[in-house]
Amino acid sequence: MGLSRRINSFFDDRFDTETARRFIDKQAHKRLPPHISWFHVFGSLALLLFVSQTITGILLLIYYRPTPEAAYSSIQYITTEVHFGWLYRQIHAWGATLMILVVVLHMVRTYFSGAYKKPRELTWVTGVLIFILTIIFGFTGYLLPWNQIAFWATTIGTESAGKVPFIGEWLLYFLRGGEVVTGETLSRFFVVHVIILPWILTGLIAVHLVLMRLSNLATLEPVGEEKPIPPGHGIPFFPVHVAKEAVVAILLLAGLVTLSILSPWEIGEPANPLVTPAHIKPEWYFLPSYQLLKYFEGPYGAVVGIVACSLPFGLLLFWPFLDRGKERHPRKRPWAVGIGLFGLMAALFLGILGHFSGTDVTLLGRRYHIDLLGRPERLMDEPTSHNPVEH
Amino acid sequence: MKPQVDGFDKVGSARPTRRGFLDWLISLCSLLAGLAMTIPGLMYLWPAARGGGSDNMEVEGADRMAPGQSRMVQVGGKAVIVIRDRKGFRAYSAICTHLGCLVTWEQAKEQFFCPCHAAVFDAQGRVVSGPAPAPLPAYKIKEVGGRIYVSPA
Amino acid sequence: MRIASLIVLPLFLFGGFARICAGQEEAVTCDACHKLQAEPLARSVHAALGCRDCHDGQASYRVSSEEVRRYAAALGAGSAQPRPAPPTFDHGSGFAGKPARKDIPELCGECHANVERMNPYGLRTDPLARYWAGGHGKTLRQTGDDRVAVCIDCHGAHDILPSRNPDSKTYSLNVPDTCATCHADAALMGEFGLSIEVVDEYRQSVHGRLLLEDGDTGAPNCATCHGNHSSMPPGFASVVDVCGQCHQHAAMNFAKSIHADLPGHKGCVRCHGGGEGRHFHLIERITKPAGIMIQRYAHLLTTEPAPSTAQVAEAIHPDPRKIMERALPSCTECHDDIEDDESLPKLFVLLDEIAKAEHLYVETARRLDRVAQGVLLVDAQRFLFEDAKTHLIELAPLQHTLDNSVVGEHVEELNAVCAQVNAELDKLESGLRWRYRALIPIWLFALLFAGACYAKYKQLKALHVGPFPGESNERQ
Repeated sequence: MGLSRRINSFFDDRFDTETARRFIDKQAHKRLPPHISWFHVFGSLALLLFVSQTITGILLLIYYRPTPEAAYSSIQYITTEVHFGWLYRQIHAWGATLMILVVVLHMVRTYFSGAYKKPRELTWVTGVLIFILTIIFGFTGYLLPWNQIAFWATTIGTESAGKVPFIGEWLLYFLRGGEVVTGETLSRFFVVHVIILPWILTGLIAVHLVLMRLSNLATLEPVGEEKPIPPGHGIPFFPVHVAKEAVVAILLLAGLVTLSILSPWEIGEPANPLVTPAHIKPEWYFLPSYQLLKYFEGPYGAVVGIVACSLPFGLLLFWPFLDRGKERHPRKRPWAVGIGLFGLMAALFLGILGHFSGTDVTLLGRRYHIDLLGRPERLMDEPTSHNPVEH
Repeated sequence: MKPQVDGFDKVGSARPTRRGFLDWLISLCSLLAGLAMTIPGLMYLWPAARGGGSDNMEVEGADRMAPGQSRMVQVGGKAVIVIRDRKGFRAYSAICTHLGCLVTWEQAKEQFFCPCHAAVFDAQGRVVSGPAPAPLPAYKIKEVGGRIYVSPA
Repeated sequence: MRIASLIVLPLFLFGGFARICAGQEEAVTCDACHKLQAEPLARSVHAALGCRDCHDGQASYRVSSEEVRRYAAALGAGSAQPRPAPPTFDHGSGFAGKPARKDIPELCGECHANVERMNPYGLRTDPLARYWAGGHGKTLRQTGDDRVAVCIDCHGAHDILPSRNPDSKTYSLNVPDTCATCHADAALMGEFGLSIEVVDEYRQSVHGRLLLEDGDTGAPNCATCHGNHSSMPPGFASVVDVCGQCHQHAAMNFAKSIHADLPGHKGCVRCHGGGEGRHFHLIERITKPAGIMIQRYAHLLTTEPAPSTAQVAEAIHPDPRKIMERALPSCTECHDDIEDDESLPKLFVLLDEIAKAEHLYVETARRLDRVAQGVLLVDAQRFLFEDAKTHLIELAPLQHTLDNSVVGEHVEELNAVCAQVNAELDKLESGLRWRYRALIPIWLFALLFAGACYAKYKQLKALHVGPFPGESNERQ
């Protein structure tokens, strides 16, 4: 104890440690509203995954080489030669997927519990920005292994940027660093993925956390009618809420390792710009946009499609300023809940259509071909029945 | 420093044994989890393979070497100098045993010379003069179908 | 009148002068009338030659304009209408006219057999000699029958193009059609006692399909085996031996087989030529029925690694002894006593082993591809597997030794490589198994840890959080 006291006194003599200590204690033990549920852990889980992604990302950087010649084989080297390299790569890949899932769940909880309302509008806006950045994170990271699926998913993914009105062509050229996906694209995506996004996201998360702390967690009481937490009845962040979060965090990490082992991301074939593999699909979180874009054709259709795909994000971003009702409880704001549910269902439905489009599926013993627009067509010699699913 | 907020630790004396065990268990688990996360991380950082090249290297163009000439090859990532005399090929580590500069073969004097601190080795790699503390280690030469291969002795 | 004719006659004799003065007669070259020949010639490889190089005659003729018009129309300059009989025109005494078919080889040979003349073009000078040595030439010389092919039938007369030109009649892809103009003509071939079915047989054969369907110009056409100008390509005494010029290993191994020295054998085409009732031009990799049976057998092996005789019988043919009779009918031509002949079961064992080995090879290759895309590095195994590929490719020509021990040896080598690759893949994959096993302690630990945290959470909550006013009933 002698040493630690000496270290403490070293700092005490030089800085106003008492204020800092009091501040940290106050923050650590801050009382959260008593009703907070198991649904309130997603934010911390997302943070945990962000930290995990940062650490595993840094580890992968040690062996990864961002050039078209070396990227694929360096991933191969990481997964086969480096001790536990396979584990870190899998945790990074699965962590990315889970992070998007957890962020979405966090937003769903926030939305339906009305927590974005005054005074927490800005917390929500930073949260939506974090969500968008997380998706861009996923998109840029997907290319880095430089395998066939990565190469072509990126080709197709950046293609849709070319449909943006007026600046599309320029934007496409800028994103790819040229006419097509090449080593230039890899460099760009690499820099965005490992330098630019991490720092922006770190800053946004910091702002998000500070805002969250300043206005505490929301209750279900209407705006302006919140009752103060009675003394001794709030839940102290540390150690009570932390213990709760630890339970979920441990299970999440175990789940992450389990996914990494049971369902590893395969290396696939090295990227070949001369051969497009069949059935190239983007990752699940892009499937709704991917599917939605297909329904808009022609020069005007493409513009409409882009608008239709970005509209939900714009709505999300400014939602707290559009929905100015005072009620928070979901039962008392049917419109907001209805729109939210509709959005979720639409995304889910489009995602499922996107997943099955262009494939054959067996349903109730009958084989159907799902065309690119998601219309099922009965296979074999029987009369084809068009089921207007998308209407 | 113990937390001082809202009287933590005041009510906790109800079931001290169970609390004590639970705290102990959580500490142990945390320790184990911490180890489980750091040890693989450290192993990951440890170089997986000895970097650079094969352990059995062909001397390119050995057939074009005249007696007295030398050639540098990388064996297992390390510089090796191959010399040819009238009897055949010999190979020595080109890394000076003094401070690790690369020695050169001086054909006229039939000796190895280190340009950094003027260490001199004879044609068998033995120290002749200068600061080198040990002879140059020899490498093994193997001839397969007219091709010359060098590998660590 | 007499005096008048005495004056006029010289005028007529030297009438050209008068006509030129009158503008009725002009000096023309051959192409004025013979556009139909001159135009293709100008596009041909012989564009630098003139008409006189083959037909002699004068450089130009004095002809009245009206006559030129009449001749040009009659000779059908570019018109598709049936030509009227050409008007007679005196080309002068030095004119050779249209050469007789029987004289054409020697006419072409004036240049094409002349070393000095051909040297600048790098062309061979032996086509003429070879032509006289081949079937077409011999018949022409011996019987004088000029219906046999002469140079112009294959190369064209005025429209000769180099054989690398895709429009040339001797371009690889066009050769079968060029030969077919005569060899598919039943009336003509009948007179020479030749079959016209060879053309269709060739077109359906493995070589014909490669050439005509896949457009593989490297695939053999008629001339590859029958020679360009003579009946055989250089280096062969008989057309039945030419297969070895491409299929070297097969020919070499066949030369070692028990069948090589049989009198009266027809070499490769005996088994590969399409079988009975064919004319040896339906050349296939293997006789169709045998191919089907081996395929069925390999398919059976995918479900049943060690099939019983009964299973084989059910999948392929009810009578295993009859399999060879069905599969390789040409065998049974000589090996007629199937019941007592041991050769056929022996061959069946051979084919059987090859089919099994091929199956193992394909399975191993598939497995390698699958594993390579997963989480393992199999470059070393792929490298090892290259050996198997070599053995597999060697196996096809080795079958021709009909020597079970030689083939068996190679099959064993192939199997050994496949087995080694599989064993190494097994080892690699079992190396992954500890990861699955590690999940059990990981989850036991996680559940314990999470359980402890949950207990702690409950405890801490009870410690630090009082019941919320008015919610105590709900929250227990």
